Amino acid sequence: MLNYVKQSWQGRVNQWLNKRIPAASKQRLNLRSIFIFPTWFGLGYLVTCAGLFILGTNYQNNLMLLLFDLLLGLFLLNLFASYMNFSRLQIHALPIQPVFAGGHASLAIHLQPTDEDALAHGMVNACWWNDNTVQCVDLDSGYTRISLPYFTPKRGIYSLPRVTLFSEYPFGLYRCWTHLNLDQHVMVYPAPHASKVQLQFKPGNGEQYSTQQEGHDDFYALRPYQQGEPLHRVAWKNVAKGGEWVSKSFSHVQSQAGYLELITPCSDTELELSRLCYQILTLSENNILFGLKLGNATIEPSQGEQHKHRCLAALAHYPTTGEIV
Amino acid sequence: MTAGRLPIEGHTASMSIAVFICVLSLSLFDPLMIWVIMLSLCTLFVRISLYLGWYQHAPSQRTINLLAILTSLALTWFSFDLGLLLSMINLLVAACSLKLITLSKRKDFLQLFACGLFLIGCGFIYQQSILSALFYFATLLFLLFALLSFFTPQLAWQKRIKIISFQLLQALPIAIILFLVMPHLSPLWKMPTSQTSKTGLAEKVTPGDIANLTQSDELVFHATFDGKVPPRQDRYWRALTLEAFDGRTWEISPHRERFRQRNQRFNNVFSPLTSTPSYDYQVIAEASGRSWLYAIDIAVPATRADNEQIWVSRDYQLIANQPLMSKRAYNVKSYPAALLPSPDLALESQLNLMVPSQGNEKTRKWVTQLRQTHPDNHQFVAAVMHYFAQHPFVYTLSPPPMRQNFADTFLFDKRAGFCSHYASAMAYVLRLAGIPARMVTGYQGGERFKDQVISVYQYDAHAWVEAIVSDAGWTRYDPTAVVAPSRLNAGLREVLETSGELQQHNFFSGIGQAGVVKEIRLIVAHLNYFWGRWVLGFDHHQQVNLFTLLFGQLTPLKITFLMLGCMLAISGFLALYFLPRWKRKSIDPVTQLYLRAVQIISSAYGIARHNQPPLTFLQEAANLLPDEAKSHFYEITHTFVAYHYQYPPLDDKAFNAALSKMRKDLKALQKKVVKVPGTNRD
Amino acid sequence: MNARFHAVVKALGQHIIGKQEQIKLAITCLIANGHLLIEDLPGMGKTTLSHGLASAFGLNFSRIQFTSDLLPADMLGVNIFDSQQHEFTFKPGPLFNQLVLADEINRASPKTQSALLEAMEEHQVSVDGTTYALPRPFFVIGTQNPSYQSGTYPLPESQLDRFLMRISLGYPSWEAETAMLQGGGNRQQFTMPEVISTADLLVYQQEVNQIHCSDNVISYILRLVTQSREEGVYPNALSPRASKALLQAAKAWAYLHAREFVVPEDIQAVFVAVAEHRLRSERDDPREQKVLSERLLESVDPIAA
Repeated sequence: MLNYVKQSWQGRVNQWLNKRIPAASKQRLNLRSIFIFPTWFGLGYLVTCAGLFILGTNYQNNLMLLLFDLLLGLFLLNLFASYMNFSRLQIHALPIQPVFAGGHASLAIHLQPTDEDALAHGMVNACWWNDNTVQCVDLDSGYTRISLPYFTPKRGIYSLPRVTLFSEYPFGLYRCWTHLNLDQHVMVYPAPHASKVQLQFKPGNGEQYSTQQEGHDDFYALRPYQQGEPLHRVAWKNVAKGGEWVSKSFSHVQSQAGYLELITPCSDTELELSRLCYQILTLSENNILFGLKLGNATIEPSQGEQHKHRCLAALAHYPTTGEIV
Repeated sequence: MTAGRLPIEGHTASMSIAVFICVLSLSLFDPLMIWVIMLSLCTLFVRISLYLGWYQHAPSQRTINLLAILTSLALTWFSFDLGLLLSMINLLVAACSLKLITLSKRKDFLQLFACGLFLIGCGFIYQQSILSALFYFATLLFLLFALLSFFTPQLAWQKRIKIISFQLLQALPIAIILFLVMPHLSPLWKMPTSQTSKTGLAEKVTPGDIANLTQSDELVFHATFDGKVPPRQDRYWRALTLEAFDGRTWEISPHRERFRQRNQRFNNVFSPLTSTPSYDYQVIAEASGRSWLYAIDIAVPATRADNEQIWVSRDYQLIANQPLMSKRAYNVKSYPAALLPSPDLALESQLNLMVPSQGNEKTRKWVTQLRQTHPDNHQFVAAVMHYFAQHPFVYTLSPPPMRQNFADTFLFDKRAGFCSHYASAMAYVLRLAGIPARMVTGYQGGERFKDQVISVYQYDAHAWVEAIVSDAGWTRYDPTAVVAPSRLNAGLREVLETSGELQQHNFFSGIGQAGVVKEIRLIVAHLNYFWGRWVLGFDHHQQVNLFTLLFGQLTPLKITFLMLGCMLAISGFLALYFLPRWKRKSIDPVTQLYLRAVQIISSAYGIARHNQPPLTFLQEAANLLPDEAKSHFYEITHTFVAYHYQYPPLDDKAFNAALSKMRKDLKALQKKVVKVPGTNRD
Repeated sequence: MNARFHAVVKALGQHIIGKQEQIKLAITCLIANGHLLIEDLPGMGKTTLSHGLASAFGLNFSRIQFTSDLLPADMLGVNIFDSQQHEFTFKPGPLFNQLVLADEINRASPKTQSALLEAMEEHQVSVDGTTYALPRPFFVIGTQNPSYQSGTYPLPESQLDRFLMRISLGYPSWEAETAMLQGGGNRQQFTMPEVISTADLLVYQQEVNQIHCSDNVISYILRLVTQSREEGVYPNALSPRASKALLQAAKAWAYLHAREFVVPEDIQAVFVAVAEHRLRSERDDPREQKVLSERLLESVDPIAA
């Protein structure tokens, strides 16, 4: 029961926040997004002030009363000073690198002043909403980046939770905070699981999959001359015979390209995906041409960093588990 | 940072707060015991060595606990002597010092900050001059500096100072408004007061023991008269009536004290018989730590508020219900009278005839002889005064000590002394002769500070005699006047000058100088007067006076408006500080008009511009707008484009024409736009 | 739009159906005195477009097919010993034409690529210590095939931005392809009348420079490039050369539309073509992140308030 109330309350708060502070990767803090309330210390300060007032009244000591008034004025002033300082921040999230399951994704938040003439000071603390692990950065040190680690146990695509930022500048009397949805999604690849590389070659039409790269290693074929081609490519013999202008084409044969494949149905899809992940990494490391077949999706053989990430992304996207956004 | 331990080495915040507490404990030299100050100095040393990294770890918790136990034991021991207030202050400083040594958590630091604020408050209990106020506000700045350092460890210190000074300056107007309008209540309950005595009048006077009167040029009070100021020789400011005499020492009679307490308990108010004419004046008394007040006889509190705060004793003393821990202003009406009627003749006579049965044989013999020749009380008193006038009595501030048989030694042997010698001797003689007599101490004279303002200093302290010569009441006799008439007419300075004693008393050193120094002294004196009257003495009465002066008779409505006005003023200040500066962002009128037009269209048709350039947006809007509105918006957009992008740029005339046309178009557009219900999503 | 350019666009549109925007951009590039990069799969009409442009403006045209063994000399020309004159005479290569189609530019070795790019930048070539000026106007259309990355030498970012614009023709729409098939335009016999003379083109190129660009537009350009530098999402920020190119292209676009001054719309019209290839990282898959420049456009308000 209590859990239910808690959950529905949480949902309400979420809804309200989504309306009030919509998701964006770059946000300026303003009246809508900043919350402010005295800290415990701020309340203690007020109690101390009240003590001074009573002391001053009982001793009929106007200087003490003046001190009380001054402190009260400071308290009032700080409400605005604190808010102003915090609202000078402009926050944007840097793109997140994909991670392997079981690792920590790291959300880097960049804090910038909105106006170079009015810098924000003090410490800014960041944590995930409803989480206690606080990262902190001192704006005066010139370092304006906070990295928040986010534990990613499972593969998939996750949207990151709201980030709570708070500051107690200047005197810690108030806490300004905000819960920002920085609209970041982290792609979690499956954790690599060691296995043998199993490239599937389609027997029979292997020809189809070996690539004919144009190169200049071996003579490959003759083809009609195209205007603008270098003259030394022209098969002069052919021209001399009075035939059509043809140019020689050379080939550069690559090793045969195979496909990694998810064999369905299988008992443990996740484990299979982890194995595939390992294979992709191994193949890429050795610069071997490969493609990927995953359910209905096929990635044509290729190589390189870009290709590796596309294959891994496909693994992350593969349905059945993981929260797909 | 939130929960973790604070850094130790190079941590400016803890270093600053250590310096602060040390400075403050030094400034509280009077109330603090020397070992507490030593403790705080040691703490500072520990903090400095931690700050510089001489050693890395704060002393262990065990050491601190041991120290804390020792300290509390010592404080408990001394607290019997010190009284509650002093023990508390000592405890606060000691606790702060110990906390400083172990300072390692955020919570510790913030607690220390709050204690620091309290320490500043305690400082104000003891020192209230302009300079000390400035000093304490400077320490406040320093304390805030420590706090800010705590929250911004990397900021340059100059920048921190700047931020704090700026904030304090901003807070000052708000504080002043609050100070003026916040109710200045009367004390909520009785506070423990300190038992240390200030210099000045004492409750016990033992003339024979004092070899050298310690008097100073410290101010005792200012009296601001409405109308006539009494002449110098009539300005006898009564403070204490001393009725108990044990042969050596005069003090307040315990019986008298008991009566007073009983009367106060039953609210048995004494209203002396008074007659016109009267003097009206306000006294601003400096803090004395005592509850007696100063006034010229016969004095009654002038206002109702004063009546509630001041008790008129049956020996014509004015007694405040709270000791004067700070400057205190009160209004008095004085009815000068030759005779003070005795409220209870029989009792008072009995009380004021008590003398020890032995000692001073010579005097006793002399009194018996004199009484035989002068059986009439008036004549006897006159004879005594005559004796003082006839014999070579000397007025001096450094009389020889007369411990044994004071009266004998003084009257027949040494014949040198100051006012209390004369008063004591005379009162004793009168009591021996069966005439009820008592000693009154207070101040005499006072300098004219301004036209209507008399300032009275400690060196104006005086003692005189009152005796019941006839049944009508008490008559004042001042033997000193007979010995040194100039003491009354011209003041102490004159007396000392003639006797050549002036050089020995350095408290006059400043007065005699001329020129710039005198000017400066005068300015300082004026400043002090102003400070006392308007800052330290600003109480409920003055507050009401001020508002009445400004707004006439105060009605509840006016008070409501006043409160609202003050709130508005405070908000005004805040707005002034924090509203964005308009001048920085000046948008040219053309853009302004264009954006307004866009705003109108966006809210009416639910299409936002979304960073589209003007012409593109015009195309998008054109599909939605009715024809007339379309043409107006077309004009507006094209004027905007022409102004911002076209070549050659518009000259002034064309610009003004375009602007006015744009305004017209905007107005027309506003009318022509048809609001589509349900599409408003700005 | 300027009537004469309109005629060109219309004439070209008959052969490359449904690609008005790209044709306009190509002409803009031409009159802005810049070079054009077309990134497309084969058979999308790159050659047709180049041919068409050459004919419409009366430019002499040559095509260089880039291969991995193409040497700079194949392109620039060589000194040949003339046995009759007894001296070396310079035999200009295919580059000495007013419109050069550099086909599949990423197949050539970096050495050849940089020779081409240098010629494009300098408008002259040096062979054996002698400098030969290229004809005026000189307009290079480079093409790249985005699909096969292996075995190619992708142009580095630093050289990509020698091209004023990069466009992609893409597949034609259903209607366009239908019309094309019905019309049966024969590529081999592709001819077009000259609409604008070469002399006029040179004048236009001069006139583009006279187009007024107000401070507000310049500030808009600056805000765009600053945004690309400050926000961390763009692999490559826009260089000063990019902002210069942007301004030049916008001026040409305004000129093409018969306007004497630049408006923010001009910037936006040419922005994707001018900025996309400069923002993108070399390693990025061209099919992804197509929208970097559009995203940048959306994030900056042309009206500074």
